[in-house]
Amino acid sequence: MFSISKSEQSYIATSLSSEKPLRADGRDLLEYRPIHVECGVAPLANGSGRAIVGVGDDTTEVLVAGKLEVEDTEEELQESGEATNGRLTCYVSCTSAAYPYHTNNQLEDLSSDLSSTLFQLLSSSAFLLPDTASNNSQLSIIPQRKHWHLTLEAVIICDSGNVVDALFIAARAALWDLRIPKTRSLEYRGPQTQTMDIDQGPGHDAFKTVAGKKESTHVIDFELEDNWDDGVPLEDREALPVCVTLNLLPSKHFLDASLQEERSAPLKLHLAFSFTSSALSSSKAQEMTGPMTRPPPPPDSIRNPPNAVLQGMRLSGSGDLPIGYIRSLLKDGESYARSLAYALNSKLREDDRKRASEL
Amino acid sequence: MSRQEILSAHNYRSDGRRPKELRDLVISLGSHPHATGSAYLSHGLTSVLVTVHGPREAKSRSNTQHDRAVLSVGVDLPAFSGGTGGRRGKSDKRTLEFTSTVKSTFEPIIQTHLYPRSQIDIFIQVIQQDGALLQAAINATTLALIDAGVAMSDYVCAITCALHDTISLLDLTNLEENDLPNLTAAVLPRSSKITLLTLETRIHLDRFEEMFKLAGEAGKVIHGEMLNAVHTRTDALVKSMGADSGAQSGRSADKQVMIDADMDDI
Repeated sequence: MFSISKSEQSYIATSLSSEKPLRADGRDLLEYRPIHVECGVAPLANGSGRAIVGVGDDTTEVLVAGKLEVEDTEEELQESGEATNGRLTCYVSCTSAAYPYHTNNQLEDLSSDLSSTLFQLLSSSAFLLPDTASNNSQLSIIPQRKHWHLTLEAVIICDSGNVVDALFIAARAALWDLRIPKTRSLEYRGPQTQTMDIDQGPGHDAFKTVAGKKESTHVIDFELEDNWDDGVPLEDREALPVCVTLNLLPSKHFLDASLQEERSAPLKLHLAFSFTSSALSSSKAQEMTGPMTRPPPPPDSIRNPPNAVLQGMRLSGSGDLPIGYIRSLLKDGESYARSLAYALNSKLREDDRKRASEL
Repeated sequence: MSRQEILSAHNYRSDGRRPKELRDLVISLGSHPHATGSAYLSHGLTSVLVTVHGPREAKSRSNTQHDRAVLSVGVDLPAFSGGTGGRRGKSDKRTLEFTSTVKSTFEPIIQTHLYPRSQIDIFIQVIQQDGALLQAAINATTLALIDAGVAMSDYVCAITCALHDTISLLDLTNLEENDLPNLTAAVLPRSSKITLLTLETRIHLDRFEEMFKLAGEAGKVIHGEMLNAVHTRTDALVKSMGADSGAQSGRSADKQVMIDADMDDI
């Protein structure tokens, strides 16, 4: 199963491309295997999710957890030369349990490939890491001084095909489950006779807690609020990106390939879309009239703001794709991603409700 | 934040257990679809998933021995599992020590002479850590090897033991492991032999003997739990194969299967 002969490859590719396509497990070309997704599997992390695609012997299982650490913005500026208001790092661990026939080098290659795919397709989503000009990043603690560094770590437990989709579903569940601890800004006020000197070390002078409305230039530190809950979830979670992998054959494409199908149709197009919540509840594109939580769009699209945004695109595998096909593939990909996002959001919201009612 | 006490005045530990009480043991065999054998085991909040591939042809010819199987052990400690520090790399000293400890524990137990020129790969995936990681890894490895059908001379049951004043505690959590002198021991329950003993702190000799004996008994208790799990799994297998005549109890049916497979009465 881990390597198939040329005749097997041709057999599978032919049956997929035929008039009445046949797949080994009887699915339609556009049918996914059963997807199971759950949150909160690693209670020690700030957010975690698990995705299992398929049942029985034919499962792909991925576990993702996110951890938040505080970072100094100025140190980060010196090290990497970029001013940030939040940082995201992704690491995907491909173990020899999931890939028993891979050598160590192959495992490392696969691991760095998947890590960079995950990072590219997630880091471009605007609400998570907006450009440095705006200060309203969700990962910022004290603007220009301290921010959260989010490390998303994924472990692939087993791979029976379509690992990128499973990886994204699990990452999305982990980001949905992420709770950012609430912080309160602290201001240092020197004694009345001296002028305010922020660089002076804390002496015998009193610390005052400010409700965060003061100008940010005076804020020099923060403290964690003492709460029962773990923090706030990310805003606009429903707009988290969704990834679909289209496996490409010369004449058509199919979804959710099993291992043998992946070997027979190696060219894959990974598309990541994000949908605003109003776009998901209506089946047709409509004008948005309500107040928007995102930063305002450029003027020419105020009347028809985009409700589906293509976050990233990646073509992988050997083979080529005629440029003319891309437009229709993007359109199809968007509709698949839309249904997947709708289903995921409903399931995760339902789970949240169940957990809240249990407490 | 107030410091948690290890043992309260009425002899209750920080998680409400008695000194000699073990944590909840959850065992699930054969969950991994591709591995030859797999076991998920958790002692309370410490959970690991061990997969075994093999015996199979070695990946590199240079690694093979002409008369026995070669054992290779790998471990993955993700950052979210709750251990100190971030993710540990493959060549990290602690990781290497861990894998070589597990390997040397199992090398004399697995009947490697039955599988010449082959390789047995054991991979330990840590899901969560709350103390007693080596204990959980060894117990889960034993079960995964049994699930894979690898011939062994006995079960290997591991337990951790610590000393608080004059009282011995079993099955330690992170808090207890960090604060108290502790040892990890792995025993062979049938022959009452010991196959692993690690001690990284100082313990007085008089106390050591007492802890050692206690560890031996605790190992036998864990053995009982592991037997139950293996019997349940074999029952299910036997039923699905249709070999159970219905009149026999599951236990005797699986004894029959075991004897047929040329194993001693376990």
